[in-house]
Amino acid sequence: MMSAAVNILEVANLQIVARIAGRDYIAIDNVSFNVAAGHARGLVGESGSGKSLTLRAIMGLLPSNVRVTSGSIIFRGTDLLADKGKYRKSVLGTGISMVFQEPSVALNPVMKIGKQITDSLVEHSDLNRRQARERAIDLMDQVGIRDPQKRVDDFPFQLSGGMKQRVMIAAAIACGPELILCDEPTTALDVTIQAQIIDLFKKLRSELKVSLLYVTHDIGVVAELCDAISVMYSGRIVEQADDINKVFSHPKHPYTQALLSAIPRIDGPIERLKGLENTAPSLTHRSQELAPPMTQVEPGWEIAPFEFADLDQLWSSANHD
Amino acid sequence: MSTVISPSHNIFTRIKGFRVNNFRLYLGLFIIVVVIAMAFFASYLTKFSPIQQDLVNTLQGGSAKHFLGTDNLGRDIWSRLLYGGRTDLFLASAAVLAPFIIGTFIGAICGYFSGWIDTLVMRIADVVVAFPFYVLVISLVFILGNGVSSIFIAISIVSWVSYARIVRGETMIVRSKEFIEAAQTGGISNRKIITRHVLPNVITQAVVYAMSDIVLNIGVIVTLSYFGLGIVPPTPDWGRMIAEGQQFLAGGYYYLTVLPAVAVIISSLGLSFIGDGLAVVLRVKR
Repeated sequence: MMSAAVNILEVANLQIVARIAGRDYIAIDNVSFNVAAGHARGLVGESGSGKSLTLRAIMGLLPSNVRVTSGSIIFRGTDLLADKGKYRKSVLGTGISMVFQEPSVALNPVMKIGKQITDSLVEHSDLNRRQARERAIDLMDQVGIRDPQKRVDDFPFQLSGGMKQRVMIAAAIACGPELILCDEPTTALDVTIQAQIIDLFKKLRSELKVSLLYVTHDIGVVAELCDAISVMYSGRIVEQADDINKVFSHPKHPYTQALLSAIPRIDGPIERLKGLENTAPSLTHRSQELAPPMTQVEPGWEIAPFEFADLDQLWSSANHD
Repeated sequence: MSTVISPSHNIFTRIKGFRVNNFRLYLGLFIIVVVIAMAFFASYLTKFSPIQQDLVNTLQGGSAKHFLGTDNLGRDIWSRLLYGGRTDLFLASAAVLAPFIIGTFIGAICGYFSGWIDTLVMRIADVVVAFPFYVLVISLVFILGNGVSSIFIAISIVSWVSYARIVRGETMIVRSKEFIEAAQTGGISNRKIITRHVLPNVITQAVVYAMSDIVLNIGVIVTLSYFGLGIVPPTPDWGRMIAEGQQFLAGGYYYLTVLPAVAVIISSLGLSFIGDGLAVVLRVKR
């Protein structure tokens, strides 16, 4: 189905190390995935599984005590990690953009939203102030903000959370990027607004042919929005497939199975929900062994060896209060 | 994050969250506007020259002719107050401008980039602060020689540090905010991030401080001329008036000292009220 598509983003063997209290800890190891042009990949996992860190590594937003120690992040054929980030700097905004989790802190509180939407666009083009304003109004209309002519001069505090996230998305698409990285963009919103934002992403995908790398812990969102999926656990990918339906119908890895069975189903039998008993160990308590290589279930579908995820710990609740 | 919902029907609340019932701001503005107007229109408010001596009529009390009386050289106190205000207020405000701009710029750069440049500049700031303020200013004026411009230079050399430190601290807070990251992911240059995203968020504290800094500068200028440094006679100025009037305190001519002192206090109060009021008005909303 997607073998013909060109990969816009190829992450290979990414390893990220965090230095905490003078010691190095492997935060992410052996993470490899692709995002095909025009497609969306969901990166799912619990808090602390390393999904956001992976996004930040792509954007070059790692904290000062965290560094990429090996691997490559190829965007449009060139490694973002090479040449001290010069290439990355040239594609930020125009080639790749990002939508953040908390729209209320990801917008500058003292800047009019119209200006924030076209901030990047003005930087990368020679639009004058009036043209930029017109463009901001168009973009606001495109992301479903009503009365954009009136709203364009509003400050972020005058907008609701959902509206702010639409503003963020408008800013992200302003320069016509090929790839948008989404860092849990619906997590901070309430459920009805979540659905609207997901619909907006769907609409933008079909209209703009933009690729998405969508990080979330909400596997339902991934099911609705994405073509491909990578499941992360404890800094490693445990299962990934280019066809999301395969993983959803027949999850191979016990962790994925556990994750899927933790979703309540409205049409399912009435029974106690099987939850994940324990969360993954925190970074400093994690095994420092390198991630084992993945095995292929079939082309475009691979899993990590079962022993990697500490399944005993995951399932047993007997000696745990 | 507290969300402030402002009534959108009110025109004032739509302009940058202007708060209408900010009593202190208006009181301060009123005082300062009156004081500045008096200094500015000094020539219309008095018919006497502030430096014209009248040795026949020295140390006169208030009269129909000399509204607040005359000093030991027979100069009209009312006009000396007005023209003295012109000197002191202008110099105090002018001496805030350069440190404000330089300090804010340096502070933003240090806070944003941190690293060795931050360390270097902050150590220099430590050295400047290590000297007692008046000792440093007085020695600088002594070295540079008397005159308005040397006061201006001396104050600038010392007081940029306060702005740099305030703005640096605020910048370091703002720098860790997600909207700065968002701007970085938009490929916006550091220069533009500093000028368009960082400075508007940190300038408030510097502006508020600038108001109290003018007060401080009035104090410095008055103190310097009290010591006979800086402003050269016969230029009228409040500090010199206080110093000269002092010798006649014992003779009961207290108003020679008290009147310019009251002028200093009123101006300082007005500026402090403005500073407090601005702190409320400019508070960043989220």
